[in-house]
Amino acid sequence: MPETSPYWNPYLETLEPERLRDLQLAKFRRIVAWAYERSPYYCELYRQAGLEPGDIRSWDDVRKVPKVEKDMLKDAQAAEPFPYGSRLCVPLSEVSEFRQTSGTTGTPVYQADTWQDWEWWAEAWSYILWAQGYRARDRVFIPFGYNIFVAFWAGHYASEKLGCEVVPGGVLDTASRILKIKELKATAMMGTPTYMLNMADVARERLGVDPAGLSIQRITCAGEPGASIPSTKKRMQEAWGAKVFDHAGATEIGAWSFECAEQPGGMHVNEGLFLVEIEDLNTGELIEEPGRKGKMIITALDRLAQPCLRFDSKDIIEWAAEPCPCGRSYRLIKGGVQGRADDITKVKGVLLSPTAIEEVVRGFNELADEYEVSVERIGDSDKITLKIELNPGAEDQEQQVLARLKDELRLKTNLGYVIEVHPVGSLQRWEVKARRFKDLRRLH
Amino acid sequence: MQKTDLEQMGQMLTSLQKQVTELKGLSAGFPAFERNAVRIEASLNMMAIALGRSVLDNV
Repeated sequence: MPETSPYWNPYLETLEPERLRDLQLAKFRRIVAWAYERSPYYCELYRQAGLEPGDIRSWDDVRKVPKVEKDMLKDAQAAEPFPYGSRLCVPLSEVSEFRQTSGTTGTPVYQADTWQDWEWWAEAWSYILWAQGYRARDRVFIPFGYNIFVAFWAGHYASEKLGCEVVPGGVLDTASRILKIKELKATAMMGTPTYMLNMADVARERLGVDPAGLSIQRITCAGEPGASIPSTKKRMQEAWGAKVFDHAGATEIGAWSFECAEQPGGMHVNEGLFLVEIEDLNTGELIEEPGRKGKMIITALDRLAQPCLRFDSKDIIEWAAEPCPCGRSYRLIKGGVQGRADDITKVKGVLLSPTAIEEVVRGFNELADEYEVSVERIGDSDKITLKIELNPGAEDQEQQVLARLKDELRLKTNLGYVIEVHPVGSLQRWEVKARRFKDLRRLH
Repeated sequence: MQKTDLEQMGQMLTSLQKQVTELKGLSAGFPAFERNAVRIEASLNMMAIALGRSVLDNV
């Protein structure tokens, strides 16, 4: 492949939409049949719905295939064979990789992959990295605690596949990682937005190093939506003097989307490997037109050990109206993953998404990176408290900043906030996935 | 990418997949061969996916 190709897969990524849809339907039928024949869980699920794989002939039939949710995966996991349960489609002897979800919503889901599935993970990540400009000349630093969570494992393998030189940042602490990046002149890295900002803080405050003066040219983010939130993306790009790209994936699903080098304000769905449907939150109706938000139902079309078919991911997404100037026919989702159906909560009768608050807070240069939001019930009313830190030098503008912040929050979220200013560095710092939104009403 | 190039790549890939499947069968009991063949097979299947085939075509 010539180095000049902007596409990892010049065939699939530019395939005409009609042919792409045909390919997806054909693959969907195959993977449903595979799961039906091999997994007692899927067989029972589909039988109860009166469905046999041969019944799927059209796109309307796809919608008849029962969805699965995380709780259902956990239930299936309780069955044999240990530890994966009845969703497993291959003999245990063919499983070569174990990973698990974080378990933040309860019992973690264990995920089995065969070696081929693991190759598939690296392949899916190769689309991401190639689209974001990673090439063999790159020295990629991966500041990730290689462990039971899939996180950036496949980013490591894909970097190798592209021919990059990979530096595993493993158990080094944050300061050591920064010094290693400096020493080796690493050109790219991967991490959660929270950790990328945290690293930049440590570089400046503890090491006296300006991260923008280091050699990092591109950063791939995952795990949180920050790299698609304009104000957070801007902070990271300015802090590191690098282009910051978003990617979304999940343990149960795979690496299903990526932002390309055009930074078009959204992410491409890898439609050669995944089928994404958007469903209206209230009616369940299929949304195919741009501009309407819904939740994502997703199928990994080529993952065999423990397939995830029509998984209700709870991610809120919407199709973009315009095609991407990059020329890919893979559709764009506008603004990346805009939230999660189970994170969006009603406060004072208004739907509130935590990402909307992040977008406002991170847009203020006078505010530090960390913030915290809590909602509590006082009598018959909800009270939202936003804790922030003022950056050094902004103390004398506190009243003006707070007034502007309140105005912008009201404009963006239609809600009023009690704002508390805390000393810089005093709010909790997060290493990986941050939990900045606390709904204390659920405790009562 | 020319259609003829893609077709030729597809034909060569199919041929390679058949050879590796045979090799895997032949090398049963010879781990240094068999396990490497399993890895080659997985890589060939990724090439098949890249050409728009289902990974299940070769299962």
